[in-house]
Amino acid sequence: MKRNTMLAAIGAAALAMAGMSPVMAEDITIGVIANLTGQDVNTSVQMARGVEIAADEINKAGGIGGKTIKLIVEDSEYKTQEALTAATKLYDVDKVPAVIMFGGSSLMIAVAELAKQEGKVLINTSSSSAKLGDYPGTLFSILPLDDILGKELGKYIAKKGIKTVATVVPNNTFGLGVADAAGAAFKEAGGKVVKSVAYTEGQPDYRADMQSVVAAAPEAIISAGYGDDSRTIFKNARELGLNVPWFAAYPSIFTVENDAWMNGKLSGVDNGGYSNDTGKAVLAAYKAKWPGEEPLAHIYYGYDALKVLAAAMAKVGEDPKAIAAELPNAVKGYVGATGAIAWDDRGQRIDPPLDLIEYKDGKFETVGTIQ
Amino acid sequence: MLQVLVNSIVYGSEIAIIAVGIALSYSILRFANFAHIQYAVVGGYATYAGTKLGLPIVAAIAVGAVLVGGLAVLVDALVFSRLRAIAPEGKMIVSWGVALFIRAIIASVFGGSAIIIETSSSTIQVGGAIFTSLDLIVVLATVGFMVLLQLFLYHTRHGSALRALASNYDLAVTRGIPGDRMIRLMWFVTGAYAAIGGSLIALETRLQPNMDLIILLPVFAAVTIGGLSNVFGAVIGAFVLSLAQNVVIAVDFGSLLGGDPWFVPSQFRDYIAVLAMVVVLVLRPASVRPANA
Amino acid sequence: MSAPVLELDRVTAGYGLITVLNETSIRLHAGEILTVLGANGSGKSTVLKTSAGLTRILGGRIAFAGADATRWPAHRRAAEGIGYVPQTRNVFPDLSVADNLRMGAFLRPKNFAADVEEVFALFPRIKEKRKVLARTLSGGERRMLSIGLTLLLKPRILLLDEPSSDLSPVMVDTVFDAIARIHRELAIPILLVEQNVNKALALATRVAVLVRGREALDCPVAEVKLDELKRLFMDGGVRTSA
Repeated sequence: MKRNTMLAAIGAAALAMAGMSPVMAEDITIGVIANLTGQDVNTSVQMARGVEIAADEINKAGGIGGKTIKLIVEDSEYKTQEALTAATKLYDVDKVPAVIMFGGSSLMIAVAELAKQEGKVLINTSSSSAKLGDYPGTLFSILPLDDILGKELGKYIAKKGIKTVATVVPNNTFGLGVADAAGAAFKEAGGKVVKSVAYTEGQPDYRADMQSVVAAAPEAIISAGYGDDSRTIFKNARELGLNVPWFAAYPSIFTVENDAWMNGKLSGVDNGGYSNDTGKAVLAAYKAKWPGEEPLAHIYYGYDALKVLAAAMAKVGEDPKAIAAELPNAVKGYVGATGAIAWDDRGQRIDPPLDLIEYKDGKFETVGTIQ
Repeated sequence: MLQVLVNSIVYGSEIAIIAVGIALSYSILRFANFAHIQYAVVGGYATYAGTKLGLPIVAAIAVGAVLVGGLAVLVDALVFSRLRAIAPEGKMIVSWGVALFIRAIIASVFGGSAIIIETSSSTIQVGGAIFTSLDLIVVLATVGFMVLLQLFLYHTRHGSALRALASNYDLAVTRGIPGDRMIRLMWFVTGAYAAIGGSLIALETRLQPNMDLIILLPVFAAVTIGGLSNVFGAVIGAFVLSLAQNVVIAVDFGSLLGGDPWFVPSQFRDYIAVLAMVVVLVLRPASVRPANA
Repeated sequence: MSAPVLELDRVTAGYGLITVLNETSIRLHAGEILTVLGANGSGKSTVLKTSAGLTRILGGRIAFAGADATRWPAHRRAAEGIGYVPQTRNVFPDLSVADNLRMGAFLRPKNFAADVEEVFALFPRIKEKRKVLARTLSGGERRMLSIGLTLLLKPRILLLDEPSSDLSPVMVDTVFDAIARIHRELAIPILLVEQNVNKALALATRVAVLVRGREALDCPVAEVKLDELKRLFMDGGVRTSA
């Protein structure tokens, strides 16, 4: 955590300085909102760096129609109110046509509402709540929503021959979205959900929740979650002797509690496809610019966000309405760092490259892909 | 239902060992010490630090208990001893200030993220109830420390002197019982017990700076149910509210009312503690009457 | 007359910000029972509490057995031999009678078994009740217990605060008989604050009268004129209940 905080501070300072450089008349300004202080700082910083890599690349190649891209980065502090303040400043004061944002679903939805009212564009690089599909023409997601990923997860588990599962997810839009989508797909394939747990985040233990799972005796667990809470869930499960496989949406964001116990037990569906040429180029650019710092997958989402935005702007200029109309066309044929991007009519990503990953010997291994 | 009972005993044990200290200090000094909760949290972190320095867990808890006992004495010397003459409400508010100060120090030393103390425990299954060997140790440790406290308070000269001070302070000091020195002893014992309780909770759950807010309500509810100044009343209070909490979240109210299964979400546990406290106070108002009024 | 065992020399004392004693002087000599009389609020009880170390002393000097005791904390005074029996709150209600006695002997745990038998000889009722909580005792039993547990300190002087208050006439006689016996057998001087003037004068060897925290009279009992006592009580502005 300490290291993350440090990175965040350095990142925030660097980004703040980038934001302070004078904006020329021939510049195109694009807003970035991320959590530079507060929770999830490192992932936000990584996303913002991905945007920066894309901006460097585009500017080096002559910018958009001869104009240089200038990024204005604002901090949302992982608070809805701060995110709205940042968005208002970017849309109204800096007059940016589009904002690239990293934040939790609740922050993203609030900003999407504002962008819709103002007729501006918002590119989502982080949130996967199915509710984000309610802003067609305003919000475009680089990340596939939970319903898509959850569905793949449910189908995958059913294919393994498992008949009964319990769902264990945090009681938030992300967790419930995964549980609903995966559970529905699993039932459709003939399985049975014997217990659904939606736990409250931030509790010191989940003994009672996990005991109810043990009592239901499922063959496997469908899960989603992250951070300290996921670690506590695993601890309680291990102590209660719940030795069944865990299938998760985004297993890589879990915090594993006990390497030996978890070894070979945890697998699931995660975003993938970074191993193509674009992804490799982004990774190389990252390593050149921030040598010695560990990259996270979030850089690819930041990178693709600006790339598709720039592609649309290159065609239609800086009018947000025109950009929104052009974006679905702009992604056609674009193979980004996160793979080929295709959107449904909600502006939400469909058929994303998904990896099947498994926890082995203390780290995740890609064991297959779903395309 | 056996599982509910087991859960209640485990949780009640964790709360009880912290609650007795509040009752003990209240009985002598007549104010609710909110900093006590922080002594438990510091104890948990001290145990973590001890294990990081290579101490076995039991030794780490023991060292932590002694250090936190010392901390409680120090806080008294620096703060509470200077405020003996002010109203209990004033002392209570000052104790809250002390609590916030200690909390800020913990957060700055250990950071804001959660810490899990690694333990290896095995699963035990008895008649359909599942618990861990750690649970068993927690309960046995609590029983042991309660017996120890009972022996100290009722069968030693200094323990009896503490009860005498609690029962009638002026009479006690005019019998030659050195009030200030005995109060320091009392703080040491309460601080050490809080640290042991905090360490057990840390082993069972996880350390995080807001652990104080998580244990605050149940601990104070237990002490209040037990009659504030009654040390073993606090233990009974802890088990009463623990049972209430665990029963309420285990009952399928949905099916009882003829609908789909519906349970009270577990995050409402603390409000159930408060509810249990209110119910007990309404049914048994004598329990809050100070012992020697 | 010999040097006093206990001397309050122009002592000003009180509780918190309230001053009750105002340059009060009291002397207790070996062999005597000094009774301090005065109207309600004249500061009689405060003289005892100040001697026992339970008040805030703002001025003057307290000497005990020739030593300066002004700054001694209460427990030190007990250790030096000042035995104080309060009027109310005179036992540990939450402790058993046996534990009450044990706490009376806090400083002398060694010969407790033998010492406590002396108390039981003085107050046989206490022996019967030794297993119950002190809160269940009657007013008379509490008084006996409080005197008994104070004797376990082996005091060199005894401070008695209104030993007759709230007792039945029979019980008053029992308690006063016991006080006379203690004085006779243990030969310790007693400072007695009492509302019951007749009882007090019958027992005491000397009498002092306090008016608004100041000593207004100090003479042997034989020389007391009841008219003068009455006048001093009236001066106090409060009717005497004696």
